[in-house]
Amino acid sequence: MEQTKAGPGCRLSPVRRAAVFLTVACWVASCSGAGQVAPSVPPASGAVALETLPESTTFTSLTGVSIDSVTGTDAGTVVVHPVEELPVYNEYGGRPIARLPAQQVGSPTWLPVLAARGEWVRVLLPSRPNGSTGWLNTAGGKVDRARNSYRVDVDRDGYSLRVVNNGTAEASWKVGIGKEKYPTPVGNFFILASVRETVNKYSPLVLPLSAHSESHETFAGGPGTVAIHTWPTDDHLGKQDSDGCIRVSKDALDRLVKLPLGTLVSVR
Amino acid sequence: MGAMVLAIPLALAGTANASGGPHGAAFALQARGAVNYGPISAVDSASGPAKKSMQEYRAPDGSLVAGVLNAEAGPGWAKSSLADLRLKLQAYGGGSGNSELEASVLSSSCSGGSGEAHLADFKWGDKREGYAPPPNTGISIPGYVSVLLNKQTRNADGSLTVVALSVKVDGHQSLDIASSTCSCPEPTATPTPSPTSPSSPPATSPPTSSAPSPSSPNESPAGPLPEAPTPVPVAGHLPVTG
Repeated sequence: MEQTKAGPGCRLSPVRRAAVFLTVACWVASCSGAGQVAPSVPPASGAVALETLPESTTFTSLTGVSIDSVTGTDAGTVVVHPVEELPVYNEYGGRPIARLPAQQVGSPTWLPVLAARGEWVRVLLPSRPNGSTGWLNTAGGKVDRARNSYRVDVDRDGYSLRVVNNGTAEASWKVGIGKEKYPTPVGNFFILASVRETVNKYSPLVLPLSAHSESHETFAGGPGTVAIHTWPTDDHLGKQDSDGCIRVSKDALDRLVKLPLGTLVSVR
Repeated sequence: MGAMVLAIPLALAGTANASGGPHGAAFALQARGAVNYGPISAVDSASGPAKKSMQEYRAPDGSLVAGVLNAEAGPGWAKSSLADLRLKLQAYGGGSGNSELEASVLSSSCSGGSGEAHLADFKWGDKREGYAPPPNTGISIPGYVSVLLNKQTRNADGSLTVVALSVKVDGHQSLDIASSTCSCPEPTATPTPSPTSPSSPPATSPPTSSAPSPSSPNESPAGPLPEAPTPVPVAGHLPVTG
């Protein structure tokens, strides 16, 4: 089997962490003296003409992205929020491919971090195709970081959803999933927003995911976004009855709406 | 049955290399509890790269049979695999019902502090699992049995252990299949700029070898990160797939 490269899972001792940070911070901040030339550094976000880039939202489809490879144990344990619109790069130090707004469907944008490299982080994106990832340059104080101990696992075969906290299953519920013709997509996604619905009546709160239906290019005028929500009755639980969304009971939704935005949702 | 490999009882998880250098260790199979055997095909890189292979293993009580058990380790990496696993969980106190577990291939690998596991044709009762399950994928628990796929554990010395399939029965009996342990790489110090540093390349130039190495997203220059906030629902409308 091919060996993986050194990944994001390694933790450094506090001393080593401090040493690495000092060298990285110095490197990013160009700690050279007057008249000295800084070493090669990845581009600063300010140099990018954002208006020329497509937005990364649930409404858009991006090209040039890498599809996710969520393999590290640290994936999703940190979430990031751009406090202002930022460019998304195709790779570390690569070319800009999209602009990431500070809000998604009215909620603040929070994305799960899959890997980090110096000041750069690789994140899951909310756009098509499913599993799109890109890199953000967090230097310059334009990105908030936070810790997230939660993950959501959805087992389509078992019609189950469970909340995992710090690696331990905290609770699980029976769910309904997409019809055979319009299946709930498989992959690693995240909770994109928390919407108090003003139009649809079937669920007072809806949690759109970064996932999109692979069989509905659009749905009801929307971009085919897959979400977690309730349904007026519970007879959908344990059935393939939706057009891709994950239908849960009211008590499940009561718990899920308290999870941070950016929480990884793994659908298998 | 193929040639038996001498089972060396190594404390594989969380081992620190005495020399302090990169380290790897692996085994194909180990049972601990009321039923004890292995580690089978156990290797350790303490004396340099090592590899062991066994054509077939049958547990003494007949509860498990597996073929082509491989383990290999070197400085900072390890891998292990076995084929055609058939496991009768009753022998381990795993009750009745969904008590027979099968897979045609199970493998794990670990390098530089990150790892992965692959399974093919995994079956446990009516459960099926994909080829590359995410880390620490648990599957449903009939009776007292818990099964974790791609179990990834960070050891006290910072090394990572990846087990393709880890079975626990009633908290006492454990069975680890295809285990690989590797140490984390030493951090590569990023050189500070020198007066002779070359000019900056165009903005989109790829990172050079002086770029920082991949690191944990949990590492924060400013200290411990705050907890992610609980979201506040926002009134609005998004047509979703019902």
